[in-house]
Amino acid sequence: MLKKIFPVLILLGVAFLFVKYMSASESKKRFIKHLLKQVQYLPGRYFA
Amino acid sequence: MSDYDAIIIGAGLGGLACGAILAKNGIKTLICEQANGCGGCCSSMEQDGFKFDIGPSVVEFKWVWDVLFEKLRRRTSDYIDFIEIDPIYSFITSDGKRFSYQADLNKTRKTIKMLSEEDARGWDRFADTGSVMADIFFKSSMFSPMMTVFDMILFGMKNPMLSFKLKYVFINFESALKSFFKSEAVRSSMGMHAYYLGLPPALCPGYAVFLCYTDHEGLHYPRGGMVSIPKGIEKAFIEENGEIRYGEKVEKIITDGKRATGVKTASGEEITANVVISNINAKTCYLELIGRDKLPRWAVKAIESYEYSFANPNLMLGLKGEIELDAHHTVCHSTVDDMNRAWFDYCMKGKIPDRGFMLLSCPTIEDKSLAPENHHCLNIVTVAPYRLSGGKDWDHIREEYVESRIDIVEKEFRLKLREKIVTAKLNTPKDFERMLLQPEGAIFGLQFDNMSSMVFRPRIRSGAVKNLYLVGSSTHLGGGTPTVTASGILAADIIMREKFNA
Ligand SMILES: Cc1cc2nc3c(=O)[nH]c(=O)nc-3n(C[C@H](O)[C@H](O)[C@H](O)COP(=O)(O)OP(=O)(O)OC[C@H]3O[C@@H](n4cnc5c(N)ncnc54)[C@H](O)[C@@H]3O)c2cc1C
Repeated sequence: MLKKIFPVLILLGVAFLFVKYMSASESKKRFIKHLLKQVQYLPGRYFA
Repeated sequence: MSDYDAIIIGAGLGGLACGAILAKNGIKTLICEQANGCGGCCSSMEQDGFKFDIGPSVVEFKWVWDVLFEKLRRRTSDYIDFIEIDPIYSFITSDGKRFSYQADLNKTRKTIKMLSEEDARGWDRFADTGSVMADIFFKSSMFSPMMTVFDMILFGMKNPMLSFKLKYVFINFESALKSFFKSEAVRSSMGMHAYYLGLPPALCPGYAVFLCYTDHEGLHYPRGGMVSIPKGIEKAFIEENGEIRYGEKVEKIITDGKRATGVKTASGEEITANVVISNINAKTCYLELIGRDKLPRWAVKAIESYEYSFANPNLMLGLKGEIELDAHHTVCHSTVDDMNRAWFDYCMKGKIPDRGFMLLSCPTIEDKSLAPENHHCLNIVTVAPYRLSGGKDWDHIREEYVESRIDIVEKEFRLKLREKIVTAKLNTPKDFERMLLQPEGAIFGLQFDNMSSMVFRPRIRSGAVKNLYLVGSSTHLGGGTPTVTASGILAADIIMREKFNA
C-alpha cells in the first residue's frame, strides 16, 4: 500500500512546488534559480 | 627540517590575524606579501596630503578585534584607536531630502516613523528579531569552523533558537525586508545592505537583512585610516618575532604528493614550511598556486564552480572647504528595484549602472588627520561589472567614469563637488586586480550565498591538499573586515590544535 502511495505523494509534492514557483514573484524566482543552478556543485564544494 | 613552521601568503587582515596568534604561540611564522604594505583591501593610500581608504570605510563587530588582541594578551586600544560613528547613515534622496539613522534604536524609530507610521512598529519587531539573529548568525557562527556537517549540527545544538529563524535562510533579502517594512522609502534605506554581502536584494540571503540591525550595535572607524587596523595587527605580529616580507610574491605552493610543503616565490626562492596558509583568493590559490594538474578532477571542478564576488570602483576625492554632509556614510537613495536592476540589467550585461548603489564616505568628519586643515576626503563607491560590454575597457573609460559619477552626485543629489576638488584618484576593478592580485577586482573574493557559504565555501582546512589552510574572504563567513579577521583567529586555533598539539 505504502509503496503505491509513495510515488503519488512525490508527484503531488513536485506539482505543489512547481505551482508555488510559477506563482512566485520575479524576485523570488531569481533567488530560487540562482540557488538551483549551483546545486550540482555542492558535493564537490563540500569536500574541497 | 623546514625553514618555517608556517608560511602565510598575503598580509590581508585574515593572514595577519592568523600569523599574530601563531607567532604569539611560538610558531616560527613568515608572511609573504606581494605588495609593499600590509592590509590588502583594508589599506589606505596617500596623495597630495590626503589619506584615502582604498576599500572598506567602516567596521561592524568591533569586538572581533578585542577577541584577537585578548588572544595576543594585549589591549586593542594600545594598537587601534576606534572612533564610534554616529549617525551611522545619512540618506539623500533625489529630491534633495535628507534623513539619518542614529545608533540609538529609539532615535532611528523616530526617523522611520516620519517615513511611515506603520513601519515604526515594523522597526520594533525588526530590532527584536535582529538582536536574536545577530547572536546566532553573526556572533556564534563567526567562531564556528563550519567545515563539516558535524560542525553544523553542533552549531545548531548550541543555538536552539536557530530553528525558529531558519526561514531567513530560505527567503531572499527583499522578502525578508518586506516581512517587516511596508513603505518603499524604509525598505530602500535598508536594501543596500544586500550589497554588503555582494549581491542585489533579490539574490542575497534573507538573514543578511539583520546587518541593518547590527550596525546599531556600533559602527567604528580606526583613527588614521582603515590601514590602522592591519598596521596594529602587524605591529603585534612583529613584536612576537613574526617575520614579514613585502614585495614577495608567491608564485607556487610546493606540494609533495597531496601535501603542501612550502612555497616558491617570484624571485625563484623555495621556502619550506610545515603548514602553508593562503590569505588570497581561493580560486587563485588552488587553480594557479597549487595547479590544476596537482588536484583531483572533482576538486578542480568544485573550485572552478565558484563565481567571483562583485567589483566596487572607488573614486577618491580630496576636497577643499566645508562639505555638505553630516555623516561619515551618506547613501544616495535608490529603490530596491533600482538595486536589482543595477545587477540584472546593467552589471550582468557589462554596463555600468547610474543608480542602484552609491555610497559617499567622508571619514574626515570624524578623523581630521586624514586631510590638510579645512579639507575633506570623500570616497564615492559604486557597484559595476569587471567586464564591460561594447569592447570598452576600464583603462580607457576612467575620465568618462569620473565625470559621470560627479555629475550624478551634483545633479541628482545636489551636492557641490567639482569646484572643490583638489585631487582625485580612481581605483577601477582592474586596478584592484593589479594592486592586490584579486581576480576581477572581486572585493569579497568569492560570491557569497547559501550555496557558497558555511560547509559549501572553501574550508579553512583544505580538503584537497594536506597541510594547506585558507583564511580571508574566500572562506567561511566571506568578505568583510571582522569576518576575515575572525577566519584568521579560527584558522590559527585549528592549526595550533592539529599541527602543533596546543
Ligand atoms: C571597495 C571596498 C569596500 C569595502 N567595504 C567594506 C566595509 O565598509 N566594511 C567591511 O567590513 N569590509 C569592506 N570591504 C571588504 C574587506 O575589505 C575585505 O573583505 C577584507 O579586507 C579582505 O581581507 P582578506 O583577509 O581576505 O585579504 P585581502 O585584503 O584580500 O588581502 C590579500 C593579500 O594577499 C596579497 N596577495 C595576493 N596574491 C599574492 C601572492 N601571490 N603572493 C603574495 N601576496 C599575495 C594581496 O596583495 C593582499 O595584500 C570592502 C572591500 C573593498 C575592496
